[in-house]
Amino acid sequence: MSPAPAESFWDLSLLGIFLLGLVFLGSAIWALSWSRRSGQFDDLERDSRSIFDADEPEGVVQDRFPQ
Amino acid sequence: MSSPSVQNILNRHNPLAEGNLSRVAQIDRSLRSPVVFFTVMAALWLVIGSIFGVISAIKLHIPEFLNIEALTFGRSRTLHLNMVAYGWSFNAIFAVSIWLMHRLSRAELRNGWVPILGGIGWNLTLVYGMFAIAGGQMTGVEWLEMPREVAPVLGVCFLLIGLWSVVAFSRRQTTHVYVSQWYILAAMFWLPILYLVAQMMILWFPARGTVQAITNWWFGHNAIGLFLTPVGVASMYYFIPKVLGRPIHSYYLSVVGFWTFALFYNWAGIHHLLGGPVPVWLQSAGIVASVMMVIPVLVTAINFHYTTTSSQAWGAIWGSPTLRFTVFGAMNYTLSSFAGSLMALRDVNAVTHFTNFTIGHAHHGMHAFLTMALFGAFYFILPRLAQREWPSAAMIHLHFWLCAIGTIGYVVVMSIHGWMQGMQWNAAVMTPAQIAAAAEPWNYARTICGSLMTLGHIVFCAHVLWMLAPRAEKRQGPTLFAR
Ligand code: HEM
Repeated sequence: MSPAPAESFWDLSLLGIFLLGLVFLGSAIWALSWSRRSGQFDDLERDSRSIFDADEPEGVVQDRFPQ
Repeated sequence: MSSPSVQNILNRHNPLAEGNLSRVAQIDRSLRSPVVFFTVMAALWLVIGSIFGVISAIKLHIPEFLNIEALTFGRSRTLHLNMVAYGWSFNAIFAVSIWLMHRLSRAELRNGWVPILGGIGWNLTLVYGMFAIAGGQMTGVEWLEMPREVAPVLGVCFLLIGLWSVVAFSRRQTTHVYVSQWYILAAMFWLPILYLVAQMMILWFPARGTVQAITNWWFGHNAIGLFLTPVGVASMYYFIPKVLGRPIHSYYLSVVGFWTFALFYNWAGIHHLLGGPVPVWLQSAGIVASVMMVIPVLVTAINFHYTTTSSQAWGAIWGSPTLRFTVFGAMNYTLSSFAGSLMALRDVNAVTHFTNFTIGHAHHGMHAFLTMALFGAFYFILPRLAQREWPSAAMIHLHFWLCAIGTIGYVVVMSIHGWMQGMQWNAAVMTPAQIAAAAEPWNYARTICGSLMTLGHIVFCAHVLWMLAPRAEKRQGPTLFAR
């Protein structure tokens, strides 16, 4: 294969990777601003308790060795 | 194993099949088939992969051991890596992330056959890939050794499986997105892109020169750092507060931890090529990122430390299989990552690179952290899915001690010997033959530690199968007392 087509292929793919990088960055910025807008950071004290519920409440140890 | 048989096994003797389910139990029931499927696959690969690890270790001190073509060191070691990486960790992570995502989204799983279909495809393709490696058809690119035709199939299967975490998220019944959900969503988003770029630039349209190596380690590092590690961390962030029944020490810090993790990890892959023919600015950027990783790791360490210690609940931690394994994993996440940041410094790397030190670190991360944390998750998840208690406390103890002693022993042996090797090579006083001879006792110690871990894995796998076996006695126990 002559070097010319390979060169141009790599120029193109470099551009593609650069664009992919931008998409990455953009998605991160979008996710961060979405979480602010949707109130993810409003009350962290309350939200840290979101893993508990009526079936598995706060204050109760949930796992022991079987007898 | 196909899904209908798993379903049959689990439906028999199931008191909850008759109704009156709590919300959590409904969600768990909907998750049963896919999560059990991936768990069983993971456990089987773990055992087979570990045996190949021990075979490779034995060959280092008994070179004529199992001297056949398919099991030369180059192939058995590669089989070990691919089996434990793509067979054990990926399957285990599929199981844990599907379960966590639905639990945290308070959503039932719909169309569970889709991830199972993906899982069957994933595992059959792996079997094909392993036979190809054993037959000598490997690519020679670390972490991407399976022949390139597996890539499109694995990619599609991954999407079928990973998509279900995203679907669960989109159907969430909650307003808050817990930090574990962030980690899992990010991992499911990152991996396909990593895999696509790496396959394209290395195997399908190979880039020229060192760009291939750079891409290779960008992928290898990020497959660990941006897929396996985040799901491991997600699991620890869920199970430690959940089992203790108290929220994480500083939820604010966990948010900081996630975003700094996302910012720094993917720059760091180039630390695998320090001192190589790679532009120096690129190496420096990788070193800076590796050191910056101290921030998310420290944040996580502080959080887990204070969550576990301020509750003064050592009895609860030691008395819970889930926490015993998870906290062990969390401690080693911190230790292995700090060690990694040190290894990324040029002066340190000049000693440790190409030595057993790196292999010690690899097992510190992949086993002492990730694998132990995943074991912890399974000890919580499986009884709730099977509606049965673990059959034997003794087997859990045995599993823990075999793995804990084996893995710590392995890391210590490899770190000490790796450092010695590096010093010996750099000093150039001993001949290569003398250096190799000096490794003999360490190689034996490595085989012993690896065998302990393998025995632990066999105990775990047997226990999982026993618990799911149709004739196993149904037992209600403390794990299920919340119902
Ligand atoms: C801040 C976190 C970490 C940093 C900065 C780091 C740094 C490093 C460095 C510098 C090496 C290359 C050594 C060499 O070849 O000279 C390495 C190798 C490795 N690390 Fe880490 N590490 C970190 C965390 C982890 C974790 C959490 C895991 C596992 C879950 C892990 C798994 C591995 C593996 C498997 C290798 C060996 C790769 C190979 O050559 O085959 N690391 N790490």
